[in-house]
Amino acid sequence: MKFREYVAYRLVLAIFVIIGVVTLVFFVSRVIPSDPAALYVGAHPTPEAIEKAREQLHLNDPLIKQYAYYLWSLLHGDLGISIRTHNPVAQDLKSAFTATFELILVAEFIAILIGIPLGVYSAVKKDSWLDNLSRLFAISGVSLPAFWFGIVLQLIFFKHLQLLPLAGRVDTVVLLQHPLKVITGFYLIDSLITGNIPVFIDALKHIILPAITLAMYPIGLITRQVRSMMIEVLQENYIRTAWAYGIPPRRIYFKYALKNAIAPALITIGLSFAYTLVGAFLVELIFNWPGLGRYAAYSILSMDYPAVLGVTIVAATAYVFINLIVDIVQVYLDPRIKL
Amino acid sequence: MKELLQIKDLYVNFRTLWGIAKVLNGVNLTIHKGEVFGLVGETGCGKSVTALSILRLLPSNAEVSGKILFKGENLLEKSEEEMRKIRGKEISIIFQDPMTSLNPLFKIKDQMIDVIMLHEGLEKERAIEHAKKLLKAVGLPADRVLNSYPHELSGGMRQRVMIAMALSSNPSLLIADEPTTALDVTIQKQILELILDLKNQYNFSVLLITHDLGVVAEVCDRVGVMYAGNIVEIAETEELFENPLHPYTRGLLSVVPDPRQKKPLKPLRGSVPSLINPPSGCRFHPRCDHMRDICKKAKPELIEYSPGHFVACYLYGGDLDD
Repeated sequence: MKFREYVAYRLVLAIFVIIGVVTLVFFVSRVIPSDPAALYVGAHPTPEAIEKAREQLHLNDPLIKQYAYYLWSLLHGDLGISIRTHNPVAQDLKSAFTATFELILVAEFIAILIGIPLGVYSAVKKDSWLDNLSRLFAISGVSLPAFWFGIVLQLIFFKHLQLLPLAGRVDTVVLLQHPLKVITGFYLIDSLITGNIPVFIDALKHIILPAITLAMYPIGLITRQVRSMMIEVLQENYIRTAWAYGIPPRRIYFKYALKNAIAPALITIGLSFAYTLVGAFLVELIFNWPGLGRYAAYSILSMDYPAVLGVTIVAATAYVFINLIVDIVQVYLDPRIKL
Repeated sequence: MKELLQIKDLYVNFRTLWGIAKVLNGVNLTIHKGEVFGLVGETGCGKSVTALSILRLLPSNAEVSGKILFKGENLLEKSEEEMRKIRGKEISIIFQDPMTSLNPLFKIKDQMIDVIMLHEGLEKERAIEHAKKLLKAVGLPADRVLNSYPHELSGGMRQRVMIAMALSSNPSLLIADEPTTALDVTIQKQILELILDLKNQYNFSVLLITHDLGVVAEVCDRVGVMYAGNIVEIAETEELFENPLHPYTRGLLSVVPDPRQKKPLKPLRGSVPSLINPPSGCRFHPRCDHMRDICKKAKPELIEYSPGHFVACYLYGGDLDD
């Protein structure tokens, strides 16, 4: 199989997975006893208004017809109207998703940047004080609850040191003084490519604490995975060969050993992406981050099923694609993987 | 002939969970310039540990004492940094298992030129040229092999790649640690002949470690026989096969099958001793037919019994009681 065929094959599979998720969530959301039409109309509805809303939301049709209608709209990028905000769900999701994804990317970046070197040095200096310290750090990263850790960070950096903002994505005042042209939806990227430095700095300040909170768990996971893989790889004969030929230690660890150790760690990184997507729900509430998690939480509380469906589809799609990327990178890294 | 490498009273102990393993028990040997020195013995007798201690590649739980003089300088007193300039440049090694000795995720090119650039200070382009020349010298299709990953090559080809890499900086000493053990018999012969050819061409010395007496007879100028961490006998190859002195050497030679004489083989009795609790005195005494009291008390020294023929056994003198 050629590389392109492999990617195409995986994409087709991904579509089936997503259709499966949509089907499941669609029917589950209809089982929940609630009256979307009444919710849609709002407080003090007349029976006529509810009946009208029911017609508008296609709630009188048979379930299977509703399902077909939903899939058909989905194909056209239409995810329905949110019962809570009365906006098109697709529009709500777009801004929420980019906010969350920006947060996740920064968190994962931090996690990889810290987790990999920490794992490597832990393995190289196995059972030293550095290793013990990093293991302690890794275990606390995995076991500290995000809601607690986030609040502690807020206490330290906002209340006591007054270095970083408490919550939000960007300061409204800064945004008013320096209007941001939205291109990708990622504030850090948009402000940077439009040369809007004040917004960039402010957005960066806002993202640090939630990103660190979110990164704690993946840092622990990645460190532990890289450490155990590195310990194994460093015993291999080809590493002994590298020593026997006078290759400097740093090159042995970070080039010859790490490339062999990173492949299994990649799966962990992929999975930790999925975790941060879930973890973001909590972190976004603490830091008042206008992302997918907050949107999902409010949607669930107000029985806003089109929005819940939309969030689920986005999360599932992101998950499937992250795994696809991980698999592709693995093929790229390891020439022995035959497609 | 001039000495290239002299190992003097080399002791290596390993700290293990079960106690201290006394793996090398005062090894003495000399390798001359331009010769092929064979080191034979059973598995676990310390051949590979001897090789690894020359390059200072033993694991961190090893305690080493003695002297390893290479071109007159004691390698055991060198810093890590100084050793790195010797490894792969002055002294090269090829290992037993070519299947696992090359990094599976890097092309041959990348692994070879890294070593070449490091030791020869060449730029990338020149290093690739040099690698090509080396691969041709070991009889490989250079262009194809350079762009291959190890798993795309056969065991014999990989061992040739290892040899090419070993020669990249024109070393004075090539350590070949069971270079043919993992290969097919037909390939074994080719590899041995290649090493001999290149030796004559590049004029380096070879320390050939093997348990195969056939290999020794075929390629070695001189042989050292090891038993349980000691060198028990050193002689020129022909002399050793015709006139073995040490009871262990005799035992080894009597278990080489000879198809012309259909007589039963005479295996050595007993088995290889534990190195954590080795026998006192001569470590071979529990298995020896000529054992005397002195053998249990003190370790026999390696003495020159006849010119160039060394043996460590009380049968040939050195008995303090006499």
